[in-house]
This record gives sequence, structure tokens and C-alpha cells, in this order.
Amino acid sequence: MVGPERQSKSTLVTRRKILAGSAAGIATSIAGCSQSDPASPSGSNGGGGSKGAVFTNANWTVPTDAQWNPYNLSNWPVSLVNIVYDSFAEFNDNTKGFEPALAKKWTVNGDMMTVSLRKQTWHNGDQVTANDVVVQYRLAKYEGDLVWNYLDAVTAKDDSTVQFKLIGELNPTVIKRYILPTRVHAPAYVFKEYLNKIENASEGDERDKAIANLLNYAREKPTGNGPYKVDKTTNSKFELSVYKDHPWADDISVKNYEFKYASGNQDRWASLSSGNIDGYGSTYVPPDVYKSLPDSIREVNFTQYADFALVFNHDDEDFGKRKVRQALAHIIDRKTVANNVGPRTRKPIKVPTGTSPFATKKYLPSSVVDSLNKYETNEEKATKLLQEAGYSKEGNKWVRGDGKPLKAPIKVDSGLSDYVSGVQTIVPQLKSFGIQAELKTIEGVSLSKQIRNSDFRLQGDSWGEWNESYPFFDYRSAFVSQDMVEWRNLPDQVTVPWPPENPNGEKKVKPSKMVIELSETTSKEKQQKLLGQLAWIYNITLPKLQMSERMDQAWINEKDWDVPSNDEDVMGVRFPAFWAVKTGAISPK
Amino acid sequence: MSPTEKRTDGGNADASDLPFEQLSPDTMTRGERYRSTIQEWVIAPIQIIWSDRRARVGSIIILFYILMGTVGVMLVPPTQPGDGAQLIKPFQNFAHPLGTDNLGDDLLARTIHATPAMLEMITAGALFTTVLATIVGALSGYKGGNIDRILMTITDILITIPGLPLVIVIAVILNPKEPWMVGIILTINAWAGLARAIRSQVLTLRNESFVEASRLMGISTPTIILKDIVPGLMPYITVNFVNSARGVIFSSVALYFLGILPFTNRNWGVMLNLAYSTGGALYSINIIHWLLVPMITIILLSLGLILFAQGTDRIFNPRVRARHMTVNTEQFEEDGESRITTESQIKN
Repeated sequence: MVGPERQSKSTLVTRRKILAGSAAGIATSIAGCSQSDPASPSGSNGGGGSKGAVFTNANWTVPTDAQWNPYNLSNWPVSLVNIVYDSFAEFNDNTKGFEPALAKKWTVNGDMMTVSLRKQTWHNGDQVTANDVVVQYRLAKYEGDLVWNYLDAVTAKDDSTVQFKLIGELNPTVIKRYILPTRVHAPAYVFKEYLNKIENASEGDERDKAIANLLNYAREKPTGNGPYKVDKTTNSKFELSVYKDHPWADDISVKNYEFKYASGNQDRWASLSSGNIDGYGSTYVPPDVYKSLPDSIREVNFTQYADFALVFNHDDEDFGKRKVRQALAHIIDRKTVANNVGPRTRKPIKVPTGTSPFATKKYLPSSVVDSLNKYETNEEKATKLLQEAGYSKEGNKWVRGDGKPLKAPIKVDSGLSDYVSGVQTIVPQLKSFGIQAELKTIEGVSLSKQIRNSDFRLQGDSWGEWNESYPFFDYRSAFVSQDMVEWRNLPDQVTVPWPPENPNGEKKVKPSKMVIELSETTSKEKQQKLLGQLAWIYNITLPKLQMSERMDQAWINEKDWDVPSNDEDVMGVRFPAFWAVKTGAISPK
Repeated sequence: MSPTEKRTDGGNADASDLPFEQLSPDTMTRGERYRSTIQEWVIAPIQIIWSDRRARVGSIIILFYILMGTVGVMLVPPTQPGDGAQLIKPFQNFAHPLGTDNLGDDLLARTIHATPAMLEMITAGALFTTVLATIVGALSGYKGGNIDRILMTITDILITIPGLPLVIVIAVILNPKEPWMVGIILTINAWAGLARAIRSQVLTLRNESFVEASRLMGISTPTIILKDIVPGLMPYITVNFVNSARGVIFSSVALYFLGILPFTNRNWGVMLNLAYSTGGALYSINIIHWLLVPMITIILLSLGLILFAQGTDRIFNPRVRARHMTVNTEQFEEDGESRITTESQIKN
């Protein structure tokens, strides 16, 4: 049985998840199609004899500082990972299915998931085997990967078949989404030694030391298995070329790829504006910069299924009260907030269900969705809720029962300028209603320390699990995560009107238990019922107040490349600068 | 000495013979004394400042900012997101003369309402630097010995620590919100250099005859420093006060721009940060006003302070003034000589 208590407390996990989840997301790619000048002969060593055959992208890490141990979080070159290593399969937003890559097929049968690997070699010529996967997964266990909440063992049936023994029969959607996006990036010939040391060490200090050794190991050169291999690393860029033994090598027409070092979004905007790029992963571009972009720059949008939210400390004497949270939901105009956070790329969340509007429509039972509170802007309702919660209005200000004013200090990471804009929009709305709201921007590292100590009352932060459309992941992050349970002090048990479709009584429920149940049920009916119940609980209790949903912006320059149209299936995998290039869908003109 | 006291030469002293006992034939009323004080401390400096073109312009600019931070905030109502359409360009809409930002905030109102906090921060920083530097420098230079050694060791340590990283670390730890606190943190080690310079100045003054006289009369150290030493340094201190104010503006704007200081109010540095980071104002000419409005505000105030400092430097510092005059005279004389030489050459 998997419970919240089995969740790892390792902070590394969170960071690892962020990295893994946003590997493609962060992997923004500057590009100077440096060979776009017809007079320049350099670099035209492929791509059907076209004038430009080096695809240029960008990377956050200084190339010479990069290291290739996936368990060491510092200086891991997140952008390159997308083409240097293959994953089992990639989720396609356009088809809502998985595109096979390293795995040629997979099955979930009872408590066993089997993944068959295609024939593929590491860049040193060695076969990629099931053993590599086993070593990687066993190391991930010691690193604290949450997937081990669902696994009993990972074994190699033969060289090309990996078997994942699950803790029982599980929701196949959940387990597939956990396992299939795994990028295989830890060759056994390098990492087996670390695994042996950890497993041979006695529990306690000795094992901790062995794990620390793994986490601190900085690997200088990669042994990849993806379609591109790293040829050269200089201070300013990585140079890569197609790995000829890769199964897709013959289809790829972009023979050379390079990643330039770019330290921030501003660098990328400059390259976009000058039109001198080949492709980015996801990079936020403000509306006015977008307007000024050359015609050849094409935007490809992906729903993020997550975005900005007002987050509460549930131990707070004011915002720990459900009615106060509900009142805020009636005061804040989410449409204006979404518009100010990002006018082109953000949409307001009309009904807070804890998951994305897409998932609400697709997965939640309509009988529950119809009865959910929409929390439209309504001062009367907000007034009534606050009065019921024991607050009263004196003059223009709301005061608590003890006569003190109702204050709403909202902390936000000063580096997240879009969230700062969001809080800046919320503050005057609350103020004009009579709540003493205040914006408090705090530097990121300092803020995350404060949040871990529950030293906050309100925070402008995010909701949802990035890149995921199946609501289990959103509810896991809302009800079960360490973030909510330990830092935001979310109570384990709540009383809500029941049943959701037609509430005529009340019931004590444990949402975290229901989330776990959701991951462990194979019955579609029960899954839908649980999803409806979780949406109802979220909608009533508002663990976070969802404000907006975001579109990721990916970029391709069509000046020198033939690029499929955005609605073609191949463009649905995040992001075209990686997937469409490495599958051969993008080719030189 | 009483009027009947015996004189050393044997005679009786007459009170009227003694210069100390003589009273001025004219008496000043209280009103006259006030007028005199006002004349000496208010009108005269204003007249002196007004006579220098740079100080005059500088004072007008500074006065303008002070008015903006006091009267301006009362005249112009505060703005909030959604007051106007997003990103209106300047001089196109009467309701938003300087345009709006991405939230629809009026940039003019935003600039004006950021002024009081900026002035508070600037004044706090400048006062902190100059007062602390003057106390440490004057005490150290005047007293010498162990006090000097201890104070100068502390000063030297602070001079050695690089200012910006120190400020960044302190700002992150303390997370200051109050403008006066931000001002002090920004100048946390800026006073050290000035303290050393003031100490050197005091060393040249401490053995002057009037200081020596005060010391022999048994006047207390604080009084000597305050009444004899510091007035001699006032020109130097005033100029540095204004320069510190300028330093506070620049470092605060830099740190707000970098997002290190918390955005408790949307001051000019925050406006710059948001224009750059959320709007991409560097890359789109359409929204350049969002960047230019706070920039021009900062540049103008800085210019005002520089002009004022230069003007006061010339007015307060007689040596500088004398040098200017000497140079002018010499210039004239040299010119005269060369003319004569030329004339004599022609005659020859």
C-alpha cells in the first residue's frame, strides 16, 4: 500500500523532478542559423546540399562547466539531454498518445509492466541493454525517485526486455506516464560501480556516503545513446553531429547541431528579434517582442496544464479558514490576473477543479463538474462568506473578531516576473475590497527556505504538474506532496458537503488516501468516480486558488528549414527543435 | 575681577579700563538676533547657491523632486493595474501623459508615487554614510592612539570587503522593506572610505592654534570636534553627502533591477526591472517608453545632485574658489605677456 508516508522527503527529488520535467521546457534554444548567408560555405556538410545544415539551439550551462552524471544536479546540460539520450517514449500533445523511441513496445499486465527495447547502441558502440535500465532505476531508488512508490523491483528478462514489478495492480495511465518518459542516461559500465558500492554498504552513514559519492560525481564526457553525439565542447558552444549507428540516423537531414551558451531569456529575445535562429525549445516571449519578430519565426504552442495560483498556508489563522479562501476566490478577478500575467499565453481558470480545463473536460464526470462552484467575481458572496467566518467591515476595512485588520501579505519569488505581475494585480483588487493586501517579493533561494519553514501566509506560486494532462498528477501535487502536506500544512482530513453530485449531507474525507487509491485502481469507473470526488473536494476546500493556465511557446525559424505545419502529429512532441529535428521531419530548404 | 580688586601694580582697577567688561554700545533685540541667524544660515547660503549657475540648476531639480514627493503625491492619485489600457504610448492619451505599462498602470502616477520612498531611501543612505564617516573620521583623527588604531582597523576591513556582494548578501538575508533600511544597507560599507578621508583632513586641523587653544582651556573632546574641527570640514562633508545620495540611487536601482531587493513598492528600479524582464522593452521600440520614463527620472535626479555638489563644492571650498580665481588671473597675465612679446617681436 502506498501512502503519503512513503513519499520521499528528499529535496533532491523535487529538484530532480523539476529538471526532468522541464528538461525540454527549459531547453530553450537560441539559434543563429549561422550558415544562412549563401556566401558562407562553412558548416554545409549535410542536409541535401542546402545552404544551412547546422541547427543552432541554446543551453543554460556554460559548455566547459557541463557534467554528464544525471544524478548530479549541478551543471547538467538540460537542453542537450533531449537529443543526446533517448527516452522510452515521448508523449504527443496532438495525438494524446506516446511516440515510441528507445522502447519499441510496452505492455501493462496485472502487476507487471514490460518494456521491450529496440536495437540501439551507446555512442561507444556498446549495446543499450535492459541491464542499463535496471542499474539506472536502482540508483534512482537511492536517489529518492517517487516512481519507487509504485515499484517492487526492476529486472532484466533478457538483454532487450525490462520488467517493472509493480506493488500491485495499478492505474495503467498513471504507471505509463511515470515510466515511459524515462530518459536512459546512465550507462551501466559507468554507474554499476556506484550501485555496487551503495548496495554493498551497510545501512546508515556508510550508505549515505556512497550515495553522496554518486551525487557528487562529475562526469566529464557523455556516453549518449540518442541521435546526436557531442563532438566538441568549447567555452561558448557544444558541437554535435548525427550518430551514424542510431536507428533514425538515415532519416535525419540535419547532420550538425550546436548549442550556444545563453544565460537568460533576454539573450533569446535578441536572437529571435534579429531572426537569426533555427529553433528554441520553450521560451516565454512578451507580446511586444512577439509583434516585432520577423515573419520567418514561427511559434508552436503547447498547453502547460499548470500555471499561476494563489497558495495558502493552511495553518494561518485567517487563510487556514475555508470561507476566507472562498471569499478571496469571489473577490479576485481571474480574467484580469491571467491577462496581466501573460496576455497572449495565459487563460483564466474558470472553475477551480485542481486540474487543467482540458483534463476537467476529458476526465471528470460531468455530473460533478456541473455542481462545482464557479467562484465568479461577486462582492456580495465574498462579504457574506467573510461575515460567516467571523469578520466584519469597519469603515472601508475588514477586521477580524479581535478587532485587528485582516492583512494579506503575498510573498512571491522576485525572479518570476510574470508571477510578480499576477500578485501586483491581485493586491489592488483585495485592497479595494477592504483587505490590507501587500506584495512581498523575495529572492528565490531565500523564499524557498521561508516556504519550507512555513514562514508565509499567502504566496504567488504555481498549481499543477507541468506537462501532465492526467489529473492524478495534479491531485498528487495538491493533496499528497511534501510541498502541501509539510510546508503548506494542508490538513489530512476535511469535512465537505457530500455526495458531490447532489450534496445533501456532510462527510469526513481524506483526499490524500483517495489520490493513492486513484493510482491503484484499474477500474475506469472507479477512476472517474475518484477524480470527480477529488475535484469536488478541491473546489470546496481550495488548497490553492488556481488563476490561469499557460501555453508554452516553442520557436522555429522557417527561413532555412522546411518545417511541418503545427497541427501535424510530429509537431505535438515537446519540442519541435528536438523531436521534429531528430525524427527527420525538419529538413534544410 | 571685581571693580575694587587691587591691581598688581598697586592701583585700583576700574571696570571701564578692562576690555572684557566693556559692553557694546549697540544692543541687539531678540528679533534682530533671529534675523541675523536666518541671514547667516538660510538667506546667505541660498544667495550663494543662487549665484552659481550649476548649483542653481541643481537646486531647482532637487526642489522639483522634493515637491514631486510631497505635493505631487497629493495632486496625482495613485494608480493600479487596469487604470488604463495596456502599454499606451506617451503623449497620446491625456489621461496617461507618459503612457502605461503592461498592467495598465499609469507611468506618470507610478513615477510620482515612487518618489517619497526613493527620497527617504536616498536621504537615509546619505545621512548614514556621512554622519558615521564624520564621527569615525573626526574621532579617529583627533584622538589618535588606540582609538585611532581600532577605528581605522575596522574601517580598513570594511574598505577591503567588496561593497556590492556584501550588500547583496545582506539584502538577501535581511530582506529589507522599509526604504530607510534599504538606504542604510546600500551604504553599509560606503562610509569607510569617507571616514578615512575625513581622518586625513582632521589630522591637518588637529594641531591648528585654535584647536590647541580649546584643548588648553579644557574644553571637552566632543565639543572641540563639533565646534572647531567639523565646521572646517563642512564643505567636504556636504559634497560627499550629495555624492553618497547619488551612490544610493545607482546601487538601489541596480539591485532592484537585478531583482535582489524586494519589490515592496514599484519604485524606479522595479519599473526598469519589469520593463526589461517582463516586457522585453529593450527589444521592442513600441514599449521603449516603459524603460525610458524611470531612466530619465533617475538620470535627472542624479544630474541635479551632481550639479548641486559641484556648485556647493565651489562655494564652500575657498581654496578651490581661490584656485579658480588664480588660474583665471594667471591665464590673463600669460595672455598679456604673449601679446607684449608678440608686439616686441614685431617692433624688432
